[in-house]
Amino acid sequence: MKLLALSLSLLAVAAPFSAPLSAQDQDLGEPLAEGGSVESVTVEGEDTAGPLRGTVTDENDWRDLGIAIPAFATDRDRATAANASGTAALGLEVARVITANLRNNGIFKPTGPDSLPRPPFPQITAPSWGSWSGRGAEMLVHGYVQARDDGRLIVGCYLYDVALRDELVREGWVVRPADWRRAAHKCSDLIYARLTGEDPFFDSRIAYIAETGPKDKRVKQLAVMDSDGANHRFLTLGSATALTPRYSPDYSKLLYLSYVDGNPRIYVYDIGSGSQTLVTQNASPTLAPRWSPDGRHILYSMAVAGNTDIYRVPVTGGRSVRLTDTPGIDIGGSYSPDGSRIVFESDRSGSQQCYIMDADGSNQRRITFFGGRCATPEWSPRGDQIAFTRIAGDFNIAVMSPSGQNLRVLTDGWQDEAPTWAPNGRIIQFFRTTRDAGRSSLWQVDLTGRNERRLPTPVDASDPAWGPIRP
Amino acid sequence: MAKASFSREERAGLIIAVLLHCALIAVLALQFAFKDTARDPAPRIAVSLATEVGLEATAPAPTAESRAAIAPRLADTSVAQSEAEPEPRDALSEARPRVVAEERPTPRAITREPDETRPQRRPDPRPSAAPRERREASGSLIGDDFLEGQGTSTRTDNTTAPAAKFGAREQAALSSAITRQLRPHWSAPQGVDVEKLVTIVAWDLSQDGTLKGRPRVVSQRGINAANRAQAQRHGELAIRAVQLAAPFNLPEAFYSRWQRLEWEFDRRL
Repeated sequence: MKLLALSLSLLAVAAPFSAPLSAQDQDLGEPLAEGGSVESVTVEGEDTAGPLRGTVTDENDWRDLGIAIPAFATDRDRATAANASGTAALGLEVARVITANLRNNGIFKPTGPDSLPRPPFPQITAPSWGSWSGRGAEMLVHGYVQARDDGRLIVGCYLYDVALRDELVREGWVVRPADWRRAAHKCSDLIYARLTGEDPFFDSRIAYIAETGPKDKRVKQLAVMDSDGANHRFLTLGSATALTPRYSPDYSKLLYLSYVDGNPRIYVYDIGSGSQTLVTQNASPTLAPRWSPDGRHILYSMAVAGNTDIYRVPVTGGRSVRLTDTPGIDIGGSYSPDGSRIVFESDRSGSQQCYIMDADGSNQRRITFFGGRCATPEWSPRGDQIAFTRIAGDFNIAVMSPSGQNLRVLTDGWQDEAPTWAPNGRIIQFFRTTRDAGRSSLWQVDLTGRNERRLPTPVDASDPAWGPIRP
Repeated sequence: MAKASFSREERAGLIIAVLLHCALIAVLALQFAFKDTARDPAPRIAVSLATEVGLEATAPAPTAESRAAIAPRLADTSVAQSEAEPEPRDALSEARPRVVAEERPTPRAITREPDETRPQRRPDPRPSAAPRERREASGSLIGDDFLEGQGTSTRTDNTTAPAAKFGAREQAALSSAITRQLRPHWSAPQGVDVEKLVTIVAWDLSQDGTLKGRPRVVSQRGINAANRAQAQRHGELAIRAVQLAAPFNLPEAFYSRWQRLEWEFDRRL
């Protein structure tokens, strides 16, 4: 390489000599060879002039990061509509919500406000380092809650590095009193994003199917909740079975499958008005709905005379476009985040496998060639992974790259299925059915497969769908 | 008459006994000379006093190598010996009957009377056996051309004790001292494929081991789609490790070598 560079620079010097042949006709002498550049190359030898170099390797097992989260302070205790006992008590609640959020994803070891002293308001921006460094926490969260005269709340959130005695990040939000939990989620997101480098996901909602009743007469209701299980609401009454909900990218609508008229049909439920409409007027059963990333199209599958294919229809209604036309079942399309490609499931090769096609249905090709079957694929919001249910004896959640490489199985339950991505593309939610009782519940696992946890729901749950981060 | 009291057989036996004794002495002397050649001198060991980590040289003007002690040729006969020893031997040889003197294979005799000794004995014990044997006598074996030396090198004329200049070994010791001080503070962020990330951080130190300015990320490698989100945090934590490890405890004598440092931070299990 160096020789090449050297000879190139020699060429650059030599070039002016050889160029003007016609110069001899004009009684001109040889032009001066100027402009040749001198390149410096690194030469071999004892490296004593430069800095001393070395390597340090982290060989420890993962250590959970200790975070102290004392109660949020307030400048003066005022009554607020958010709770019954004023902003001081609310500050304690906010810190508790943050603690629960951070505890549940396995990276942090948070210490909550109940076992920590409460810092006075002036210390929020100037922590008393000495007292915190003695508690073994590496990071410190401070914050305050203030009630404004118009009734709204101001929540400030600060993250400090105790060892370095340095502020890492701070942010503040103004929220309606009813949204105080969202401020706590925003603060959790701030801490999570700052300390992991990932995008936030706590301030998001989850739709799922709540299941009650005996096995042979199961009642399946559509329900929604915050990412931590709070603010839980049932959207349907349960007289008709509901399945496979999907949040629209702006949270205004919810797609789901309902047997309300006896046939499986896809409905668009408007969260604001509580009304719902059929996606497409058709006698055939429609299944497996998904939004396009821009929220303007809906993918669905329709079974016509035993042949199921994937269709696309505008949200506003109109003509459906058929994207697949092979015999057999093509189902469960999921868009890539840029909307250019679709991953779906097909049994055209004889067993369930995952395929990819362009958004217009062209260029269809199979991507899964490992042992076992591939079902319910969902493309990560970051675009770098596809999550799916891997069926090889048991049902497990697995991820792979969009080319079908780098298969990694993340769970080892008996029946884990229907993965859905957190908005940051780092955590996957799925539902797990136990072998004996047949009870199902929502679970989360991060992309490393190390941190797995159950999401508390009031009743049995299945078919989770994680919405995007809220604005 | 004393003479008459010895019978002929007795006289012959006495002479034979004397001859045999002389032969025995000669054989023992020869054996001793051979044994001595086989023994090698113990190798010289140069000792230099150093501090605990072995980074700092105690010699005022350190040299990496020192010459080995050289004796180009071991002296045959030291001056003192040639004067002191011949006397008793000469007397002995005179006192002995002629036959005895002829039989004596001692190298000494050979030097003095080369023609007298048996040719077959000569080449063997000669060259090295001679000086060794003399060691027992007082006097020095070291010739005038003996050169003093404390090391093992044959390429240098330096004769001071070899001591560390900043060489490869000292560099390795210094590197591991720095790595040892960084390790407790370095922990990589969690995430997918973070094992592939490598951050190179550079920083400057003052003479007392404290940081001069803020450490900076020189470069990073191993970034892919999965770990891109952690790359920045990776670099930040590497800087944090340096900040927490400071002030560094390093030998001041080599300050010029550790005032600028550039370390790679990675993770492996």
